[in-house]
Amino acid sequence: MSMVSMNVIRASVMLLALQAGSAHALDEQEQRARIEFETKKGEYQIEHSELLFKDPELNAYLQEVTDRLFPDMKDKLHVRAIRDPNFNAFAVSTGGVYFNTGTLLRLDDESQLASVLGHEGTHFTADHTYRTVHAAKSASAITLLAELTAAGFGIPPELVGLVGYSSMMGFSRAYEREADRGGFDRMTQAGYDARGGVLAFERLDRELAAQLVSQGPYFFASHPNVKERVANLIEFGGESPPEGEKDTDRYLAVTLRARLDAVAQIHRGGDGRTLVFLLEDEKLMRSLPPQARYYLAEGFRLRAEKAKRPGKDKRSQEEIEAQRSSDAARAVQEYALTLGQAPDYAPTYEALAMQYYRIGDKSRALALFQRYIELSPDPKQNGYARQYVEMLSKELAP
Amino acid sequence: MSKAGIRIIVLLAGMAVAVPAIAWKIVMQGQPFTHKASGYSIQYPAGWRYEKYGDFSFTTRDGPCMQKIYVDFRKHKKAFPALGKDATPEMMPQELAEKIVEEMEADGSLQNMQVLSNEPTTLAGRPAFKVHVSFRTSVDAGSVRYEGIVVGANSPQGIFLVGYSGSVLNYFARDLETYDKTLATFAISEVNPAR
Repeated sequence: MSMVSMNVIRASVMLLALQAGSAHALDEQEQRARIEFETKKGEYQIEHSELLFKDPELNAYLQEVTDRLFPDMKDKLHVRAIRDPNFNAFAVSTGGVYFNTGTLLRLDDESQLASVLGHEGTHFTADHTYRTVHAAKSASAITLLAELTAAGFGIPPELVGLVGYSSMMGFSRAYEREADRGGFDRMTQAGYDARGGVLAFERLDRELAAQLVSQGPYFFASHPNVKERVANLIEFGGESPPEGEKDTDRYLAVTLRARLDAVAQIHRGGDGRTLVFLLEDEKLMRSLPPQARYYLAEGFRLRAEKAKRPGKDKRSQEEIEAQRSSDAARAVQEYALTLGQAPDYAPTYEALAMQYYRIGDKSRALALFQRYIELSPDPKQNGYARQYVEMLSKELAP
Repeated sequence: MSKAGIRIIVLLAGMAVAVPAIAWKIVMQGQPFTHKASGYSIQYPAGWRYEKYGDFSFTTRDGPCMQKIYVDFRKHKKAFPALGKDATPEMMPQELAEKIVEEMEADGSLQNMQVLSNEPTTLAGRPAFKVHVSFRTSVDAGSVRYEGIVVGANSPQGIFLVGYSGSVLNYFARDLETYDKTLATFAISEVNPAR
């Protein structure tokens, strides 16, 4: 985020703090009505956007796990998967729980899923949204500030309206601890492996540490927040000897489409570092079909392309160059591995052709573009490859 | 407001209010608009109003919020300001198209951005991309649905983008043919070597 944006937010904080003191005090009923109105408006926007991940089997599964955790809240908590490659989930005061496909990608089994759902469900059962707004005295101040921050950090625009009325950016430490406790109890009472939460958040912690940057305003995108989750869960008994259900096979099968979609979204966002971090984990790679290795290759390619210029990176130019060329070479290796493991997967041919084109090996590039067209004969798909074949054929003609 | 910021607003969402002090001129038939510094010319539709702002120019009949056709020339350095990325003269049309889409997706004011098609074409005889997108403004800004088309080609000097966008209700489909005719008149000329 630029300094200008940060200054805008700082100025807004001061302005809103001033406004907060003079805001008309709403009674509880009015405040709840306001929260409900804004939440429903936000949920309507999600409902009519492309953000929902439309997979009835997955949504039924998420609901089933939630109902198992919260048998007393059946028909009150409603879970939906949303297409967002980041690790996050959030609850709103109407009982909606929104679960990112990116979170599903980073979990290994149902016990880990239950740990996150238990945490979010507890935010609802403990009425954290209303209690937070009430404690802040002015809903408009808190929500405007949250929206400003969210917009500045690039949260999907469809979600910005809900930021101030959900657990998206987190609540106070006390409420988050309460949600950890509630979620942990629900999870163990439902018979899940108590270690699920610790394992899930430790993995996320490693990812945040490896990236060396904050991923934005989502609650689970903060290194200290994640560390605190791990510490709390360990304190509650999250490192007990293995016992209880994990149901890995079912989890991996039902979430496969969503996890692949999250990988594709990270790829579309050009985030090579995250692709490499996640897919170098052979356990995760093995849970995906063989063609997923293409995304690891793409991760190395993207990381090589985005290697920072000297001056913007603490490393020396030699170190940056060494990393860049090692990543570029590893990308080609991974493309080759993908060709071996998934020989009919067309995108690998196109990507490798582009790599050869970039390094000036035009005859190899031409052959690979031609193979891509054979495997992907739909003119809507292969238009660019045909354009390149035409260009390269002319260039290489004797 | 930065030049890049104005560019995105004018080209995509069409919020004319954000464009400072525009003195519109009327397009005359047979008098192509020529941007000597950026090295292009185009015959905008006769009777439409046009204006130049830095390296880009645009024309509209009913107002930029309704419909507009534009030409945007971007030097390779900082070609994608919203992404903080450069282009290179070697970039292929498909790579340019992906960056343009990425840039639109990074613009928080465009909601439900969808790529309807992304295909190769030619622009002034050069290999080019053609991206067709739809999006809408936020609920607070009226949820107005727009469609846009961007055709772009690389050159040793920079990237040329010739685009069209319009509100889906009444305008986009109506003026699409006018855009296609205008696009066919686009020509790249010699660029001022001093640039």
